Amino acid sequence: MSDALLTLQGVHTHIGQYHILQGVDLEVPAGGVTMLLGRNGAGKTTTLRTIMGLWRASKGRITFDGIDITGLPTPDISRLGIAFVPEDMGIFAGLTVEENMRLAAQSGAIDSARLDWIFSAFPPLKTFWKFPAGNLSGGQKQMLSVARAVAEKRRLYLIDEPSKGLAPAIVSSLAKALKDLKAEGATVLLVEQNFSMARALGDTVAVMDDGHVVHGGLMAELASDRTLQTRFMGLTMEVAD
Amino acid sequence: MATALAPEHKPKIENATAGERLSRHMPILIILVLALLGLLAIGSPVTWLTLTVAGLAMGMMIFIMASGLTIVFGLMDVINFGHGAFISVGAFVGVSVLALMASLTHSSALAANLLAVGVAVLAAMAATAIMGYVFERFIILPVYGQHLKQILTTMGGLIIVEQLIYVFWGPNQLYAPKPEALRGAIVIAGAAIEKYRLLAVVVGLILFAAMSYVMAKTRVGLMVRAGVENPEMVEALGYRIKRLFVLVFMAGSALAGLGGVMWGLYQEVITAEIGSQVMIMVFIVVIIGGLGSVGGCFAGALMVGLLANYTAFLAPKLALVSNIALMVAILMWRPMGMYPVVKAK
Repeated sequence: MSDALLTLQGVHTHIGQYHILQGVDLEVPAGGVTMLLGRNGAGKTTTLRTIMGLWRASKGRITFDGIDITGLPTPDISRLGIAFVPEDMGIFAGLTVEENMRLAAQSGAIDSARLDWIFSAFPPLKTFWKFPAGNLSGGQKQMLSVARAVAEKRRLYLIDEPSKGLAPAIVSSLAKALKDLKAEGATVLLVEQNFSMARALGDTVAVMDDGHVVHGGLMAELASDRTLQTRFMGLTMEVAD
Repeated sequence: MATALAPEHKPKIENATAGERLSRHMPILIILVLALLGLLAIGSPVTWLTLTVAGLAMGMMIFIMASGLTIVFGLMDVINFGHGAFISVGAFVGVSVLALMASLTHSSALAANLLAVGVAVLAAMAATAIMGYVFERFIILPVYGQHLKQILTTMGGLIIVEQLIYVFWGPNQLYAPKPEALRGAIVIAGAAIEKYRLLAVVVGLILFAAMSYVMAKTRVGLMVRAGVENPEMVEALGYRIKRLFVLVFMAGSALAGLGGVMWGLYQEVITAEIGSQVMIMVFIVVIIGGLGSVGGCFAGALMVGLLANYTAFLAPKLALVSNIALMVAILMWRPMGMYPVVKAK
């Protein structure tokens, strides 16, 4: 057995009559960023939601730090130390930014040093601290969504396409915040379509297609091998630096 | 951890315009305009004052009965047609407990009367909270997320509870006399104001203040408000929303029980159908207030209470129609209610 913090073994997920995940095998090593790549509809979001227990695995096994979490209720999974940033951000629009953050702190209060870091990473959150979250722009909502996940130190962060539809400047601030997380030794499973961000952040990578993981390995390997990129994703990761 | 990050951001925060501020407080303004129109239509300030206090008292009692239902609607997405059962049971339990304290209720001391009413209210709330737990576990739990089945099963639950009231209390209506010091009226500015109505206004205001505080300032309130918007995300943050559902349902049932006691003493005669009869007004209030909104429920209840009393005096045949017309007008103006909390599902 490897030093994986999270392991998925032959995980299947059905949503109604749709068979989305068809035997996902995945290992997320402790203390690093694992990128989950793949085209739209490959099953990336379903994988994260299945890990969180928001959709039930119909078959297979998910273990977190040796604990079988396959059938656990979502709140119990969260309280094992897993934070989740959903694709739709999941912010509470009627609550203020402060209330969103307060709710994210399971201990009841956010550590002041942690809050300072969050404010330095996402200054708009400090500006709009007392304002309803529904009034924030798309980028600010995404900042709040990520900030809420990191409000307290967690053992694993599941983050679903944080850069989706955002301006490059905001993407770079999100990337910087994720680098800080990585530097504190956090384990992150990150779904991302932004290849530049994926290459900059990822230590390991898993590529999904049609509800399976079709490739797993080091990010650097995939980033430097155009043949692999074309084979598994149908495109290359050439980006302007 | 480090540093310099998001793009420099210098938002310009402007004060809300007069129009925006007005729009936010429009429901309060409507209540004031309604009262003013009532004064103009009725003509006599003394009669108007009597009717206004009666309307406010009725509104407060409807608010007490509806406040639990709006949270249940908003948080749990449950259409509970059985809510009237809790009102009926609350009324019967409360009045029965009051009957056991004749020495207190027959006393002319207000404190003794209030003590008796307080004990009756606590008993009614405890009984309806327990009943709410059973109702949620056996009737609501199997039909979460299925609106049509919710309507059918909760209606069934209502019928069963009403029949059980006949079993335990017999088929006859029950006389519910007000305690001695709460009978009669006091004269304020020449208008005779029933003492019990003043009590209803005070209880309603206290409940509104308490609920507003809990929703705005406590962690449970925060969870309820967040859960009304996105229950899945609340779970992903580590909170057991289903446990919260049960607690909220019990609290909503207990509030209906409190409303039942207040309404029963107001009507002075109670039947097993007392709850289902008042449910039309309760539903109107919940809908025009906005599902899940305590503030909207409060404003809506005051509008309904005032309008019902003014029209009952001016044009009695239009009393019920006036509230339906109010609901139609509000929904044409704000289709999700005055203070929408829950988005269309």
